[in-house]
Amino acid sequence: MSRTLTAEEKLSRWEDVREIKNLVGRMSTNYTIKEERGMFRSYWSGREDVCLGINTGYFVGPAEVARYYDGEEARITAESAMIQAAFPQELGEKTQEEVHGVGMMTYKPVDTAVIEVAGDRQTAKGLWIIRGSYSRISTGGPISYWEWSWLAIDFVRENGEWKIWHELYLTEIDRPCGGAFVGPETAYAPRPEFAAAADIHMPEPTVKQVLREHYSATRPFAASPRIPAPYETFAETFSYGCEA
Amino acid sequence: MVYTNEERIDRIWDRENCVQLMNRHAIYYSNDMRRAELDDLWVQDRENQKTASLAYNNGYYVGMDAISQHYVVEREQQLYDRLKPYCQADPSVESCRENLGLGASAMHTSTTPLIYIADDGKTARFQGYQLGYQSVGSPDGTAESYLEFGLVYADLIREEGGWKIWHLVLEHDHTVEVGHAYAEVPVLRPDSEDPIIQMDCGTPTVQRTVFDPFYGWEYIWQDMPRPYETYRDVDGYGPNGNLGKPYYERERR
Repeated sequence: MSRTLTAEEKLSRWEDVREIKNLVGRMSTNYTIKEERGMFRSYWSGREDVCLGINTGYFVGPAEVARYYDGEEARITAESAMIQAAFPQELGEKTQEEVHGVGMMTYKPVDTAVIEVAGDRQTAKGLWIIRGSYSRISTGGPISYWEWSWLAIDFVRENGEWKIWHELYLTEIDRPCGGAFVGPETAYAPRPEFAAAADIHMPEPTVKQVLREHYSATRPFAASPRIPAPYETFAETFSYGCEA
Repeated sequence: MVYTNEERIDRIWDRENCVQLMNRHAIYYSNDMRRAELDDLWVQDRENQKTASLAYNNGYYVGMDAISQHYVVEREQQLYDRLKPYCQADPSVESCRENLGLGASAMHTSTTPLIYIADDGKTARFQGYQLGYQSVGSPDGTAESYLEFGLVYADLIREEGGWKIWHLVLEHDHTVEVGHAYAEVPVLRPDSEDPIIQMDCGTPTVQRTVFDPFYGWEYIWQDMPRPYETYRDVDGYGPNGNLGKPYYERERR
């Protein structure tokens, strides 16, 4: 799309870009406050062909994408319960809701945004870098990780609002803080209060497919997801969704 | 300067496009799409190409031929050199373009943009942070990985195809080897011992100190973009500008 835009068109597109940045900023905050359970309802399209891709494959369709977030919520609930049990004096009397997300730290700031709004303003594409840090519980106790990821999203306008249509969340580096980017991770001795961590399993994708291997010293170079380029309608650009 | 509403919208839109241009640079750079970056994001006007520059701590590459030679050709040779140990360790690994970058990873962000569009609307000045890492593997499964911190400056110029990079400065401030404590990082490390500077900077055509990690922060106040009417070389981020010069070498205003 290289035509000259009127002032009105520029302003409309600038507002679109701002709304999209705000949407992704709100998503990032959901992670921080451990409210992954609200993300599908708040940010995703109502279309039947929504799709979420992670390193190991795609969750295809609304029920499957919701299942991914349900898995995240189940993990938060299980980890919260373990922390509560480990600190009976401080947390023992609190309800499940009161301890939801206790002791967890998840920062997923997004930056380096490249956003293209379609000429028809019905869809948009964005690519971001996530340079974050988060914690999770192993059988040896809580461990902090640093994370470098690519976030690529197709947006669709629904009832005047931008919604997520297809999302790729592909992690390049997912390693314990302070440790090397490659090689075996430190194995901590099991602690009985965190034994239940062995039972936490994230949902398997609907379409199992290696979309990105984590970085290793023997992996071929892996570029970012495709960089958005100007386009008029979605039919003339690529999709971040599952092609299968 | 007083602008009409239409001019204000133009300038808001220009600023957004300048941010996205520099974000694209960071992603192309992460992907090692260097030839494409020069073709897609840098100046295409022949006159602008003659004065285009790419700078690191140790000086400026001036003109697109010199930039291309360093940024694309020398980089490709570096990637072939890094591939050699893999080929020697496993003869089935070919020394070919498809295998370049084997065992490597890099992500370079662009954050905290500070941008002013000139009053005449022809150029823009950018300052941002580049926080990133790069990692180079070995066939034994180990890797040298570095977190890097630095400021990025740029003069952007409006061409027929939109905003383009004219002068780019990739300052490198601080390197931390991943997996090592800050306390282990040398407090004072000359450029000759900084692995990122050794990997990235090469031998610029115009050699002078553009950024000195020992005390270069003194000049950030003077060098950061401010509102301006029109481009002048001396205020720009090209080789004829003041960037990084001590005060006694600067042109007095």
